[in-house]
Amino acid sequence: MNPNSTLRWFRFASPQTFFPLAGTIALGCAAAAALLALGGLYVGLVVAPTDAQQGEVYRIIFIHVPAAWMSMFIYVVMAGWAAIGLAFNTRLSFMMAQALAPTGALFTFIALWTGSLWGRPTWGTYWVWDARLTSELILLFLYLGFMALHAAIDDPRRADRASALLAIVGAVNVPIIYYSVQWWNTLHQGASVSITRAPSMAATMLTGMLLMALAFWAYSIAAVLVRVRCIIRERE
Amino acid sequence: MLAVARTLVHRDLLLALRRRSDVATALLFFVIVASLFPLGVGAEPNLLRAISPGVIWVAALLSSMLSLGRLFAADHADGTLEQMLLGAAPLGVVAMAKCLAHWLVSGLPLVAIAPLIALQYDLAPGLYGVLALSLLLGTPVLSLIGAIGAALTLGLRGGGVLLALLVLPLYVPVLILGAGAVEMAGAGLQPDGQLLLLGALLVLAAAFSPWAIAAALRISME
Amino acid sequence: MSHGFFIWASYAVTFAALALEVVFLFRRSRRAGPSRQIK
Repeated sequence: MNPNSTLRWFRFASPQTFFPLAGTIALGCAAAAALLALGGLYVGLVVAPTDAQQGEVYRIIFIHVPAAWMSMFIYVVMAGWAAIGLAFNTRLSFMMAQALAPTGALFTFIALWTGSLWGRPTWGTYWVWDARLTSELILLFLYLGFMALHAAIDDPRRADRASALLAIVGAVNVPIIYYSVQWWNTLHQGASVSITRAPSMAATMLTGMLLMALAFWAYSIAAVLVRVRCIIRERE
Repeated sequence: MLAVARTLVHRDLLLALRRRSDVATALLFFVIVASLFPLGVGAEPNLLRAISPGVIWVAALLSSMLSLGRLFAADHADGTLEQMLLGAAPLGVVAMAKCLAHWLVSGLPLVAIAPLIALQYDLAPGLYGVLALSLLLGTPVLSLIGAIGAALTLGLRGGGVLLALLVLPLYVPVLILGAGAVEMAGAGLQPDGQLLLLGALLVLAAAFSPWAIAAALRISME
Repeated sequence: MSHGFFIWASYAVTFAALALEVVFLFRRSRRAGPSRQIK
């Protein structure tokens, strides 16, 4: 690899250099998020047809599923930055992991909240020990544990590295947790339909979900970059 | 390397023997927690029989977690841990040895006591074997994964509760498989799937945890 | 509770939560000091 190009990429590992770039990207993504959300909400609430079985309530899916996707995606990205931080010992990587956690936890909460409200009219109870909801709950605990560990350690370097290791251990465990919970759920609930599955995926429903997913993604990038700018200012 | 491991296990067992009350307290906790559930849910025999695998397993989880604080605390306090970090023996081997000693003292006794609890809950006698086997396979995994958490929270204020928050989500697959094995057997089916998966988790934990524990110790001690 | 309640509760809480996050971020941003600090 050309040493000049390697140097050029690692330039952004410096918080000072990354700071203005983060600001520009955040602004762009915030605008994109607003537009995508408007589009997604229009498709989801106006264009998509009423469902034959669930009526209007299924429209919660346009928030629930994208939020669940983001909660899992953000955790993986967080663990990725944690791994990069431990491997290359770059401060900014740890800051990125720290910045991602609150947004990830928020989307996990949203997924749980909307899942619960979807369960009430369709299944009669606010909480269902559905495989996905239970896994989401455990994911929330993993996020909170990450933030709690970092908050409990005074030395910033030890806090960064300890929470980074925890994130990686958690990431390795997430598939194991997911599959064991899914297996546990099928054993205990038998042939019941998962509440996270929409009855039939009309093209408009899929479009709405994708638009909202992209909107959440753009929002996450904007929020995380603004937060990492705050962290840079707090620490440098 | 094996000699180092043997010395370490021997040393930890000796230390545990001198502090017998610490060990006994964790085991007593196991019994007390298991005794609380009937007081809470009522003494209806069918209900107790149905929940007994889960209750015993949750009690095992909590007891194992409580005893994790002891794993590194004493050595950290008197400086032995630093010596281990600086020493010639690979830190992974040290971690593995300490986990083994910890399991022999905190996990293995649970396997022996569990049938007594099962008796209290009127679990079918034929299931005692599966229960013991599931605990035999699962408790080492709890020790290994828990040790990662213990190493990360070394010397922190509020360490015990924080350790619980960190480690309990990671314990969930072991709980599901362990309790599930007994319930499966109770339903008249073969628990082979769960037990084999538990074995797989044990192999995975034994292979990767020492590395993670060593990394966590280095992070906490530098 | 009509089905409409659940839909509105879901959407409202979601966007309220996201708005709260934005508010907290801006408060943190103001507390962290002006951007001029970073050369």
